Amino acid sequence: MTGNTPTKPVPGWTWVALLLALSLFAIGPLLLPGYHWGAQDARHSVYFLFEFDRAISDGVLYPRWAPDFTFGYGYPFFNIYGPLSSYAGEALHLLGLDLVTAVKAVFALAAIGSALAMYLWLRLYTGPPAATLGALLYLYAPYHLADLYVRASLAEVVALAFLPLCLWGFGRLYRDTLSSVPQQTPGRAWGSLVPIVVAAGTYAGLMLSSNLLALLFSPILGGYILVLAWSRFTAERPTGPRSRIGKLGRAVRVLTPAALGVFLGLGLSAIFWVPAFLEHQYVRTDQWVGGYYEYRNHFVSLFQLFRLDWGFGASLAGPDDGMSFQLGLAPVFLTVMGLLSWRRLSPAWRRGAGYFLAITAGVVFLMLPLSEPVWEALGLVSFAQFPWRLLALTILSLAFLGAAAFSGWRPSRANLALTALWGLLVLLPVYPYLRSEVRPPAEGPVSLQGLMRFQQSADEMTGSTAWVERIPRWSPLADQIMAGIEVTTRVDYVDAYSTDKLAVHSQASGTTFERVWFQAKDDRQHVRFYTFYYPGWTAYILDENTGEVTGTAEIVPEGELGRISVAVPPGRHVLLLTFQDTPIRQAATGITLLSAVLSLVGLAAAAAFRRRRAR
Amino acid sequence: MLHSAEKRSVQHDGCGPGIGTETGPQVETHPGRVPASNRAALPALLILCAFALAPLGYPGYFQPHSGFAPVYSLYAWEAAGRPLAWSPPYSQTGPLNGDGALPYFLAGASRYAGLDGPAAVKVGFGLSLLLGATGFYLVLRRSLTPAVSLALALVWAYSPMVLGAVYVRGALGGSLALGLLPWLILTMTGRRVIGAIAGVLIGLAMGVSHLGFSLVAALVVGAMVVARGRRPALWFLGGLAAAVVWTVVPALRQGSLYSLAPFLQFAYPYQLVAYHWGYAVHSLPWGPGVPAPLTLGVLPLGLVAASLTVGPGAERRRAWLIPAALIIALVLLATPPAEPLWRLGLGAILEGPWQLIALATFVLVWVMSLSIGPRLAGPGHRAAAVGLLALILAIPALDVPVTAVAPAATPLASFDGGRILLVRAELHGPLRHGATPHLRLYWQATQPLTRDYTVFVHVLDADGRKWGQRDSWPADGDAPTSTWRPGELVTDDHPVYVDVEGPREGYRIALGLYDLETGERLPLADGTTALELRLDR
Repeated sequence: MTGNTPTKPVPGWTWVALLLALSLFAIGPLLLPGYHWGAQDARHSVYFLFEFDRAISDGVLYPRWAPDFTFGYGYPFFNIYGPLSSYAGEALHLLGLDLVTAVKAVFALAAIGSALAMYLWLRLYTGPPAATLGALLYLYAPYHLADLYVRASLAEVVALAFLPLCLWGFGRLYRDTLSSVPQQTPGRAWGSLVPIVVAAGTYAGLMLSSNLLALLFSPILGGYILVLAWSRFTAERPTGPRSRIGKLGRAVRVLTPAALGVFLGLGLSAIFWVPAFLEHQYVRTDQWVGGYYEYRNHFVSLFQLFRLDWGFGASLAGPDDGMSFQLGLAPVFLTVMGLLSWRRLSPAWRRGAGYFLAITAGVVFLMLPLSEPVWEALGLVSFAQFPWRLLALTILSLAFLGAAAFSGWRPSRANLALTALWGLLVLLPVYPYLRSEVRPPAEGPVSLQGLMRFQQSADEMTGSTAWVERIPRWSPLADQIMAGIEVTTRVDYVDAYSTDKLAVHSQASGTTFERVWFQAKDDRQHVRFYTFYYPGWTAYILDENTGEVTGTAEIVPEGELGRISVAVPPGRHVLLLTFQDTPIRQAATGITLLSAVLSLVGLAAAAAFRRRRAR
Repeated sequence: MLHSAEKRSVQHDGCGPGIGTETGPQVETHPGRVPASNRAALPALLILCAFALAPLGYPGYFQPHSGFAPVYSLYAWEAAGRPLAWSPPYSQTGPLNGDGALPYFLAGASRYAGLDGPAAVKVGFGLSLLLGATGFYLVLRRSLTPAVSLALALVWAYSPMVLGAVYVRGALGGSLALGLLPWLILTMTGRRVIGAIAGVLIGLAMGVSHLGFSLVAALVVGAMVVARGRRPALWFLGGLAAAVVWTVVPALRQGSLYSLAPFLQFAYPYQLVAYHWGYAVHSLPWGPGVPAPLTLGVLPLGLVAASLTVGPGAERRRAWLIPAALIIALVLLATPPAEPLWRLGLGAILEGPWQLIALATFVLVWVMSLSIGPRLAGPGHRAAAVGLLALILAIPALDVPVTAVAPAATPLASFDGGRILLVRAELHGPLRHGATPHLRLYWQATQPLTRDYTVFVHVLDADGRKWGQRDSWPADGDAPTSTWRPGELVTDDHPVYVDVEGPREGYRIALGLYDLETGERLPLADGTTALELRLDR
């Protein structure tokens, strides 16, 4: 069997089918009945969706407030956490899957999607065999599997699909918009809009998946764009006189589409990242950076990157971590082989390989303890929390470099079989890792009671707003929930009836509002809620009979829990407490809508241009 | 509409235009093969050895059969003033059939870089692995391409007996000698002047690493070179002779040239082809624990089978004859029927049968490489696949038991003629009346134990009166001494209640081991039967 005998190329779908077939092993543990509740963030993933679903069911189309977190005091979780994985899970849930199955389905789809995304990206560089194997290297990288089955971090797994998709989006942008098609082609600029919108969409998808990975990845994407731009810039060297203005113009022309793509992507995702960035200051972050989360305890020792171990434990201080931080046998091996093929690579491959080799070295350095001064200087901890999380970037770069080993393979029938065999070799080292800790949920069925039990056993589920001085360990609402009594109000009745000057009655409540009738004898009365204060909570005073808004009431974060306390006017009125968008959120939503409209207009214009050209 | 360059690229790989399909310099001469230059392949090999070295990177130490003996010996060498003529005192074998001085010199040198004893010893082990891989690569490069040599060097570097010498046996001298083995071939077949100098140096280095093994290996490798129709350069013999003088003369003066290893693990036939990895020192498949590897390796055997299917010509058959005879002889000498020969003399020059299996594996991999190597240069990255398979098959071997317990310069106590070492003792909690301090003991057996001994811990006052006592099997019976494998670090906790009627403070602890059936205590090195612990707290 000769791998490069010139034969009729195998159709493209065959390679995708091969990739899908070999990818199935990765999701095998998800096909088991039950759920890997034992994984680090497995419970989180389910209960995030649980809360998201409660908000959606309540008619909130873009949830920002998780009403039951922190024992019912609520937390603006979705204001600072990428919502895409939750939307995906919710969509599947609305289609009829239960919450746990929906989460498993998102895991599976994201895993397979990441392989396909990697394939797409690599196809810009090479033929199907190398792209298939590169995609498998990415999917079967140990950290990818750890994210699936050890960490069970849904947002990060979804984001891992968007990393190569982003690179594909911008790579395709440079292939399509700046190819050597004559510039004077009529309407060409309109045709260029499609790849720009596509690139923007991929970047927006990443931003909406995991802000943490988006922040870590964005500089890498920026560098990649510069590498692509430089390639194009040098390729388009004019034959005539080379003036500075001409070069500048060329540079602007080369960089503009990518810049447009980035800005449009930022615009499309502004609804999430602008409030997350600007209102991040209103949540407590100190509990995520001290104690167990002290980043200095989570650097990776050099030997751990090569130690072929596996475990379902946690990251610990010192070298005895319960989970693996290896780069992966096949990725490292094939990266070395890929680098040995250096002279055979095309110039573009070499530029890409050089860039991603540098990225790998830099990222590996940042995971090692000796990079601590860099972490201090750059304040990386606010992005990454754990240095080993940077493994998410190395699996990408190593997959790219590893694929280079097969860059010369043609899509022949002989190479199809060889690719399948090599795919098995890529899979083989991690095959023992394809298992999950399926067990019954310690907290019982997914429910509010389960959520309370979960929060009690996991202190990282007690996120608090900036006004909270003492992080609660339990709450009266949690008591009520555990007693099986439905929570129909968050009003502190005990407080309200502590004097004879205030009477209250909750008329209606939801995840982000409560309507309370009250009668106050004087203007010094407050209605207090078992809800953390956070910007966006607004109190309206309504007419008791007509329900018309007659004014607003002042909200004061009160006590060491920073609970909402509304100063109410004397007399009989109705108080409407509701969680609304702040001006920042409104502006961000506006930017997103505008960007979406622009994108649609661009796509429509491109379609029109295409139709005209076809005629 | 495509540019002409893009059109060319479409024709080139049949995969459409892309940002990576610009035509670059086409240096491909053998499509599908990884063209690796000699300069690039060697660093690549060293990088790919990272997985083999990774367990050594753990900040503590690992738990091979030799336990902490190499570390203790290193400290002893330093305490003795770093003599040139020396044999490791904690070795269970003698100067002829055990560790030589060279690995300790190398470890000692790395101590100047600020490493502690365990780290320095691990440098020695790491060096052995790297020497073996690079040496074998250089041997193969004489007749094979860089890519194929790289892949087959990985087959040798990741073969079970090479990894086992380090991580299972913990044989510092034995692994270094094994690492130098390919270099011996280089010197036998090398150029004149450089070969002479290198030959003497390699011979000396091997001899001062493990003299007995070097002598056997020289015979086997020499036979192999002759079998391949070449006259071996014998410069290494000068080095070996120097090593004999260096090692044997002081040893004779001390009166002990060799000492039979306390346990010999012979290879059962199933083991030679078995793919399992364990640390038990027996060979019984039904015995406690998975036996330590005594295998020729799945991959070398598989590749031999593959090379046979290629269809050996008459010449190749002749080339296989002597190696096959050597392999069979070496393997037979490692099986239980050969035990009398070990008692008669083989045990005087070798640590154990594993060294013969390692030698047989080396011969096998070498001959197999030369036989099938040229075929691996074909398309489909065959050589790379073999290299990756070598690493994949080694994964179980690289799951090495480690320990964060750092040994002191000497063991705390040595029981029963050194069969059991007390490595360390820690007292947690106050040693005063009414309290229950926890005494944590770290034991290490140096050879298999057949009886279950009981640990006693006595709390004594200044007058020797006993105010607290605890007698139990180690780890509350979870780790009876008969299950200890050599080198394993056993953690043994003893909470001891101190009688409230006793004096407030001023206690000391005495401990030891005894046989519950006979009541007989195991003696310490000084002849006493109880160790009095000197603890600060």
